[in-house]
Amino acid sequence: MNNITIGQYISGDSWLHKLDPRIKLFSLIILLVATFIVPVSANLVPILTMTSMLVLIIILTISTKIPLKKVLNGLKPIVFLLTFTFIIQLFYVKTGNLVVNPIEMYISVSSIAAIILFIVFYNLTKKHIKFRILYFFFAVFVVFLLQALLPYVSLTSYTLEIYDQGLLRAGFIFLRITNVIILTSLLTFTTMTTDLNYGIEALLKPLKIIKVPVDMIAMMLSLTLRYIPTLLIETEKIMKAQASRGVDFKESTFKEKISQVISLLIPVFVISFKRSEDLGNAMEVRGYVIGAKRTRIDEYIISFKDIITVVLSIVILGAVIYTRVM
Amino acid sequence: MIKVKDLSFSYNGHDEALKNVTFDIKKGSWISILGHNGSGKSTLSKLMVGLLTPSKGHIEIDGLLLNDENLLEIRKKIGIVFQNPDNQFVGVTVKHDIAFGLENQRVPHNEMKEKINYYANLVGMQDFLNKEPHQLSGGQKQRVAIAGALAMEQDVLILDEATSMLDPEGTLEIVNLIKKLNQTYHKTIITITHDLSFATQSDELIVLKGGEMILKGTPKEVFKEEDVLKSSHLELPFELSVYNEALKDEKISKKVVEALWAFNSKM
Amino acid sequence: MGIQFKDVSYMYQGIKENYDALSHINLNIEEDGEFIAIIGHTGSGKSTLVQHMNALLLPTSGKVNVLGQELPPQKKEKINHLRQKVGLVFQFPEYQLFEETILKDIMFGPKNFKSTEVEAMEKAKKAATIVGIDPELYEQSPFRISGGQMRRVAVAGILAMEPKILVLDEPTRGLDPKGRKDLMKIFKDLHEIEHKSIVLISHDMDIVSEYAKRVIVMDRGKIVFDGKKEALFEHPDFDKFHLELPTSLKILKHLEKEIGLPYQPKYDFKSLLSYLKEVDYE
Repeated sequence: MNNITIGQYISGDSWLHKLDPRIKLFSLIILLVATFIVPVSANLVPILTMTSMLVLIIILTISTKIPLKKVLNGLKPIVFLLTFTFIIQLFYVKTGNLVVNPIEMYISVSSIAAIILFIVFYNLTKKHIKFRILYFFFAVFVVFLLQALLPYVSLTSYTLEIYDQGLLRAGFIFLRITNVIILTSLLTFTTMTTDLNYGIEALLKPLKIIKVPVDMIAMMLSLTLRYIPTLLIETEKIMKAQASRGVDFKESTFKEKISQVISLLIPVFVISFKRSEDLGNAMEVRGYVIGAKRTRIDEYIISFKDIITVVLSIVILGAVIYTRVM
Repeated sequence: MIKVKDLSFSYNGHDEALKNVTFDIKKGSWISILGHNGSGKSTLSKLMVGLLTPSKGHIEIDGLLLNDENLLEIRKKIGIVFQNPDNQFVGVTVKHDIAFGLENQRVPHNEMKEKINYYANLVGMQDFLNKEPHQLSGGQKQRVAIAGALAMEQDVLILDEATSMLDPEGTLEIVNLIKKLNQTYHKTIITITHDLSFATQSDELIVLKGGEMILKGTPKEVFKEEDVLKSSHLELPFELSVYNEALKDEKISKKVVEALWAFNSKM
Repeated sequence: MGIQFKDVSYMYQGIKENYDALSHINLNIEEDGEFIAIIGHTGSGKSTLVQHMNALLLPTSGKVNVLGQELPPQKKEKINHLRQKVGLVFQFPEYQLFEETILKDIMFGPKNFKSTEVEAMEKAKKAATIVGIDPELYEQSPFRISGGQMRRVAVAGILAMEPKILVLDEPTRGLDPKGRKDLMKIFKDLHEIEHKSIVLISHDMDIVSEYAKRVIVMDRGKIVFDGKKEALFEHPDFDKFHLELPTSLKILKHLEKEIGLPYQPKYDFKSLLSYLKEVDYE
């Protein structure tokens, strides 16, 4: 019928797949905290810590038999952020030793013109390039290169001083962000959304003490997950129906676009409101009482492996704290 | 099994959606409640499962008087499947949806597993337990809804326009399932519909118009009243109209008329 | 000009697999006078086929020609105008209603195709009359009317665009018997009075038998039958299509089997009863 699946679960039976979701989520949080505790610096110890974490994470990934490529794909959305952060570090860190002699960068008519031309060229050709991310890095490099090479009709200039500390710090932050992304991806790739839901519910349980309606939140989360694919399908149907009445985002003015978006939003809202009413009735008739105790069809049993995982995560956190305190 | 007496309801205080409806339903029978849109059929079904409180009259299910205090008890006796397959499918998968009612009833885990497998089998969805709702057809979703209701082991099942949104294949799946439930498993079944070809197979029919009960009887008795039915915006299905015309027409031989009725009961 | 499909295939790209939703379709639909029913099991490609007729989908191979416009179009060609010329009404079209008033909603289509406010209002009123929506409802919210009325408003929204060809995807699904009859009468009148070509997807053999002239049967993306409805329902090898017969034929077959009444195909109420009266049987 339809090929949408909720979430990014990739089926498999690695040890990570089989871990209890509560343990996975808890361990993830601990490891994330550990990643952020490692201080940003260009000293040996933090760098070693961070790198060993990365190595550990890659070993983890390989052990789950999930193709490394898929995990690295999770980095795609933030390539821009990573590059931006990298450049900022490069520009603003002025400690340590110069890596190369200071380079004079010109913002001139010629360099601006060249940059604009290059950006146009980049946008036109990027569809044909296979390794887009590398091409993007190359493009960023060229933009700077052009500033260094074209002083003609200079408007202003600045000096680019690349310090080793800057490079190290930039690399460090890059590693940290990469670690976070890969860890989180590992979780979502190896855990079904229903299980993730349960993990979140379990972790929120302590909040019951301060009267947070955890059960209700868990039910809402579960219903949301259940309805996302359905809503997507319904939205597509409405888009097609309105397209058949002339709605065309490509060939319309801005003012028209507003009424066209309304023609998509209102039907979706109407469907959703009717749905809530019907669903409320259906749930009530099937005996659902908000806040009442319920049993559960899914069973979650903590095994020895789960305990080991938690212990190891805490040990890692401890080690990181130790290196920091030292 | 079910006793409805002088049941009346009004949504806004003055216009009565249901007026003094009275009828009994015997255990193990299959009743169809027919009526045009706005005749009060949905109001009636909601009253019977305690989603609405009557302004007058009362409902008794298996000896238990329906009121606000004993809703939990009532919901163990009577279940309902609604019209929109997507708007009552709560679970993330088929398994979870059938489990929903059982979880609410705090059925212990092992018993739950058994029941889910049993009722999924009964409705023919045992190979779909891990499928998500958007991967299912309308008929399949309704079968899951029925399994979910059956799993709660209520004596009475109401199907409120459960096939109205389905294609003929889906409708046939459901009709066959209902027949099985009533004839093999002796469930008391109430179908609410505007589709008379469905209704021909019930034991008894009740026709509502403007909130009032205007006809009650066996299909044969009710279908004779073609004019009354027409005035309630109910169309006889093709085969029944043919039968009624043939009945009236002397030029058509009696054998043909009998065979036409046999065709109708077979449908 | 009409609509022509020349060796059209449509490959559906799913997450897990690709498959041919349409496979080597060859089809010719005249611009007017046709009343075609497209039938076939769920997944046979009916919806995919009709979505090519107003360019909602473009073929992945082969060519479709819609009223002179070839699809897939050349680089700069605009195809939005085809949606006005071939009006497509989806299943449960009442879901597309969204405007503040019924009249405004019906005007939405014409306005998207550059009608002025005045022109759109005229077209909307005309369409509303065709589907039987009273003028007193014009300023009502489309959400405060019955389901059957909402459907008619949605159909009016397409008719107001004054399409040359009307394509309908199970227009009567979910309606009660009277609603079905009333809606089909609207299409029948449009066909007979204005000679519009109507293409109808339906699962209901009785609707097919009563209204359609030509039937196209689809199976797994291919056309397995294209011809007059009589030729289909009287086909010697009808069982291979795995379709139901219309009720009138079922009755006649039943009468032949049970009491030996000679079988003669009759497709509607009147002719069936006349036959039962005339036939020499005892």
